[in-house]
Amino acid sequence: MTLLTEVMMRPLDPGYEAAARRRAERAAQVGGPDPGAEPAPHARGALVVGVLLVVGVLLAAAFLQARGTRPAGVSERDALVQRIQRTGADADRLQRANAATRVALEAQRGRSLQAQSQGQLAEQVARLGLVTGAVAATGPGLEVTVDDAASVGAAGDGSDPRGDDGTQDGRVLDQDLQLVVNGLWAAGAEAVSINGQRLTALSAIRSAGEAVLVDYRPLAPPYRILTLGDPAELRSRFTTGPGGRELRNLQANYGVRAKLATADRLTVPASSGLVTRRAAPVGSVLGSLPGAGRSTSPDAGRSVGTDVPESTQETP
Amino acid sequence: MIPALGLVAGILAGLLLQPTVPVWAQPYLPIAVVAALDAVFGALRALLDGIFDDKVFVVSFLSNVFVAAFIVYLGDQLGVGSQLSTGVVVVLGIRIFSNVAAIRRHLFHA
Repeated sequence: MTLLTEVMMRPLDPGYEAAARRRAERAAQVGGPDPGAEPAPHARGALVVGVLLVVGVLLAAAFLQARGTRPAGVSERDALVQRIQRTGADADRLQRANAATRVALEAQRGRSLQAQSQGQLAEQVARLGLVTGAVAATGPGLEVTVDDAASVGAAGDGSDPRGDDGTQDGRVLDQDLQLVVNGLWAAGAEAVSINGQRLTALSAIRSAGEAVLVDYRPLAPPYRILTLGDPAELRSRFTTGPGGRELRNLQANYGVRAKLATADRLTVPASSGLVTRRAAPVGSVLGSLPGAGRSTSPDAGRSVGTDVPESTQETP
Repeated sequence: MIPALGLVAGILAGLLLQPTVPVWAQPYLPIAVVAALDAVFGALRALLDGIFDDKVFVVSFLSNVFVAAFIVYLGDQLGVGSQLSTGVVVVLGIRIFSNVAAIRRHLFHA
């Protein structure tokens, strides 16, 4: 505690007292005037002014520094947000361009195969594209709209976390969507998309923070799940199946809003993420080629068609 | 009087010139400011006590700033920079408080 006592009791630099004592001694020896009134030499006075100048500059620099940093952080955050939004828009545009190119490519390939009088192959490729999600599909089906509970929009209602992951009550989670989509597949869906994202064998429905991601693309509620298949059968089998039960449970317990609507004509887009990096068809030479990363892409359709029995790819 | 003008001139010069603090010196700026304030308030109190000595003031200012910066530098090298900064600020802060209290007693006799 001696340090603290020292700091508390003798805050003044002991040097001042010592200097005063020395001056007093010198004055007593010489017999000069009162030491406290002794005028400072000019050189030393200038030094004091210089030090105080430096102190002033220090204070001003610290002030400017402290004032400058916070707006800088805020503006940096804004810049980052802008960059994220811009990059997201770029990604959207590229994805649309990609989809358009893919459609054109499909058409070209179909024509080319027809021209080579390999109509059977063209048909096979088209069918495989359809069931794998490589091409857009259209037909009658069921539209399931799932939305967060009405209370989620209001602030400060996160008092009762649902389940073990502590999200807001009434918010649609990735696992809810997974159950609904699985229910739809079980009910005989032939093609499914959520908010314009086609679900394929490689799709994942996940969550990051409060956003639900499908194929790593964040989606915003309401979630529109488009399903192709026999509308009436889809509807009845879904509502009586596990997916429908889960949905009713969510509606009853958490206020999640859901709506089922049959339609004569729905269109689900082609998947944009249908890429394999390592997997290659069995017995194919493509796997050993560098850069042959798209075994389900048009180039590899031939070997897929020969190696994979069609029946395993057919929907129930 | 002239030293006080020097302080004001320094603040004005700093505000007008807006010196940019180099990045390597930024962690030391707050500590240097606190150390400088300690020296200034110590000098003010000594002045009021009638024992002000310009040599002691200049040397105490320089050594205060240097030692404070050195402690922070050492702490950064050892990985305990923020803790040592806190220690420096606590000690100097207590001294500033006591000195300002003494100045207050001198000025207001209360």
